[in-house]
Amino acid sequence: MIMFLSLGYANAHEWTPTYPKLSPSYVSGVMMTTMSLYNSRKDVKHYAFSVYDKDFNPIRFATNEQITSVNYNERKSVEIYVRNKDISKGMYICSESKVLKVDATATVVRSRICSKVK
Amino acid sequence: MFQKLTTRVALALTATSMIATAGAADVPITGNVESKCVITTDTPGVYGNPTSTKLSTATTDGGVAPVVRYDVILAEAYKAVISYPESFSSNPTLNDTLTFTGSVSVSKVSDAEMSGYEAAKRTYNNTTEVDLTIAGSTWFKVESESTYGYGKSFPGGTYRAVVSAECIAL
Repeated sequence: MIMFLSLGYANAHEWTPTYPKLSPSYVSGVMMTTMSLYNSRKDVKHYAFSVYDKDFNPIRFATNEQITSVNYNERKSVEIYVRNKDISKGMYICSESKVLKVDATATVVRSRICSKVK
Repeated sequence: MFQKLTTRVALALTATSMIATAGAADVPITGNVESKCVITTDTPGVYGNPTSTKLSTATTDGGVAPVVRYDVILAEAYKAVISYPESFSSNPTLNDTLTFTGSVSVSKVSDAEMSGYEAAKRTYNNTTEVDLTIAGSTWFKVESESTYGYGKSFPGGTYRAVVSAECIAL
């Protein structure tokens, strides 16, 4: 019987900026910000995005892909759009690693990094 | 005549040298140190199986505890939130209940001032929170143990679980 909690290597997940600033988008009543995701996790290729209020209640938002694919050692810009009426102080914009079921042997750590809109 | 030529060559070499120096000086290197948190999986975890009824990452049980490293560039900008598993992400068919226990501890720090992290950590349910008040790297060791039913033996197969490591901006 072989038991694994995880299999993997030194891998890192980076999500910046820490304190993003929202600016008006081309859509009236909608603000946007551009986040940067850097993936140096060999075991992870997919990341999901989410937006929460200060109490971690989900907020509706729009982006090109809710789950995006980022290759190893690759950086990707992610535009996040939020309606003016949903914006609140202390809002969080997060990225979270996702592992495909078929890649379960490479499961390591579910990493999530949340930036804060001050 | 020869002296004139020598002077011209000398002047030309000096000018070339100045151009080269000016060119090298014009190559800019810019850097931007911005606040960020990087989560790194330093050591993957392995469950040991000391008895048929127990799976454990403890070294004494033949396991390896996973280690997660947090690197923060700016002090007091993030908190680490780490949870040990409460279920397997994949396992053979099981028909009885599983019990999970575990712990999260600070195993190594890059700055002596971070030594207070272990005492300052907040623990609830299977989760541990630590405010990363000092810039640098912190290593967290996650221990996990599971038992099956009431003293039952685990069925043969592969068991996997996932540790959750979060970095939340403050």
